[in-house]
Amino acid sequence: MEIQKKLNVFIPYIILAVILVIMGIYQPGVINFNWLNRQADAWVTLALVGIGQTLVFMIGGTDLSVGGLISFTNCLAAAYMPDSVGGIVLFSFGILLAGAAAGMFNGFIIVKFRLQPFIATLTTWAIWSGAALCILSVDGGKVPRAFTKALLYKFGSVKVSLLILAALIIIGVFFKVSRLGIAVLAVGSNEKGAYFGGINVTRTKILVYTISGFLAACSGLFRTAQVSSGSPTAGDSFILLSCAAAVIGGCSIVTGYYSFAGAVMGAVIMRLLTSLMVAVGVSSYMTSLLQGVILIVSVCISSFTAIFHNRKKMEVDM
Amino acid sequence: MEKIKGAVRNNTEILGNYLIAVALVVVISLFYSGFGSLSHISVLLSDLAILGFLVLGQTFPVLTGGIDMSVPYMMNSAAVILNYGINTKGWGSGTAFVAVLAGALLAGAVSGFGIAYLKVHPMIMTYGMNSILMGALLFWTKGTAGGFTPQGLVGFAKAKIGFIPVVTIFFGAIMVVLMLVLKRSAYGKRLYAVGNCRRAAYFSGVNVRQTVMITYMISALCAAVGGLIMSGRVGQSYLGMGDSYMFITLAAVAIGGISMNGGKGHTVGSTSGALIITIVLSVLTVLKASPGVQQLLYGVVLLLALVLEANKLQLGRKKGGKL
Repeated sequence: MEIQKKLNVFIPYIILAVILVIMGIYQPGVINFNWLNRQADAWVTLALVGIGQTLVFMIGGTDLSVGGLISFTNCLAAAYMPDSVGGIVLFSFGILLAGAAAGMFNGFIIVKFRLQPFIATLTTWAIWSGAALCILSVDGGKVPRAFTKALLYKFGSVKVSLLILAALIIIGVFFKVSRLGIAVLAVGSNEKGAYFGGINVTRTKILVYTISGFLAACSGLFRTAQVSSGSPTAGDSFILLSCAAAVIGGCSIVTGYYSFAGAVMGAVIMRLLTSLMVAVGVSSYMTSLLQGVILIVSVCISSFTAIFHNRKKMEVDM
Repeated sequence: MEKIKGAVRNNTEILGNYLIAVALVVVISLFYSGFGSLSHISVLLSDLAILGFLVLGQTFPVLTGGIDMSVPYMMNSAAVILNYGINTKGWGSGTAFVAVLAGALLAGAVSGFGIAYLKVHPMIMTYGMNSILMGALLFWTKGTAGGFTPQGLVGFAKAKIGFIPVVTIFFGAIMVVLMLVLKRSAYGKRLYAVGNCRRAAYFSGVNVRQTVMITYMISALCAAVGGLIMSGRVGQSYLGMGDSYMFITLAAVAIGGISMNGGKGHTVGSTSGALIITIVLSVLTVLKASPGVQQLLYGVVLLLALVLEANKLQLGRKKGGKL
């Protein structure tokens, strides 16, 4: 049991090391600080959603609506963001609020009507991506220069994205020992037990979905700044990728382990796959195939943990 | 007679769905005179056959409390494999059909194996499978989506008896067969047992894993047939031809009275859902609704269907005095 627990924790770092070594062999000298700076932009969008997805996984749910929310916030920002600085700030806050509210709505319908999380968030995914299509039917829109500059700003030689990644990892350490972090673990491992232990299960669940929605909106804003245009299908790939990032990140509801750092590593791994394939010279058509395989394999690894856990508890293996 | 009465009483909702469908056509044809004409009804019926097959497939995983999100690329691969195989690889049509059906069964078996034996969550497994199929398809065809459909299939998809398309009759026959499988065969009994309570089914000696795995194979096969009919109807295959169907099949299943928690519902019910969705889809096309509005509506409809279902369950719980 102990070994399996540790295996889950170290898997993201091992995979990352392997990928970096392979890339180093095929393209020596590519990996340096500048490369890190460039890549961080792609990583941060996925890491944000991956962390949200990790938290949702830890309470035994799934959030498919992140895809719709990213498309929606992306289109909203690309279509309507004003040019003045004050307007940009207000608008960004408005979008973040909208994301949080959308997440809260997910949590509310899941808790109140006892819907299965993946079905409930599937419907909200359809709703948000439909709304995104209503705003922008094709890729396009215009993003104020100031907004793009602010989110791609460099402090000395360090990009904002890189700082945010570091900040997320640090926040994760504190989040785990916070009141909400502990409540998340309690709800995930045994809902009834948590309820009788005096934890407000409803509130915890709704809060976690709210956080996930909020992070998806953040990711949508980042994507807007990086691409400086809007796309109604921007978020669709994020669903699979965020699940994969969370699972590779080593979160497991059975062993009760999760970390923001793991989720960030998971996101980095998923993003590096494309670069890896370019480096090794595999057709980029294989990207989605490989992503699917990696997702399923990593889920299998973590479900083996669950199966062993059940065996130990002498639970039937159906 | 008693039996029929009982069946009607248990399925009022589904009967209601069929009545609503007829009423919708009648009411809309008052506003748009062509809507209720025989030629348009014939178009609706062949739309129903495509969506119907996908929905029939979706019914089975949902009955076990799972979900099949690989429908879009399952149908897309079926169409592309057939066309690409015949046009570019020079396969005979027999070989191509066998390849398509075998491929669908294999993909379904892999999903089912992952879900039933390796305990991967159905949503993750099938969505991953969707991604894998997409990648494999792109890699195999190098991004050229197959080309034109063989004449035989086009002829089959467009053939009509009177005003009723042959594919719709084919669909109806398969629906009846699957209904019999659900209600009369040992496999059907096992399926409902697993859907209602996996644990109880396990202790009653049902091979839970095998039962679950087979549902995904049925789903894959149905999606492939749906894809073939669609490619026959359109006359060619293209990448992304199934993308809009993921939400639609689920919405149809939910409207058709199949509980997302599993164990309740049948194919006649899900067909009623498919019928209503087909009509609504056609109305939206008549109204020139944008794809965005359409998708938004699917989401809202699916959500409403789920919430209504959940409310009924909660009322039931209150009546039964259980938690």
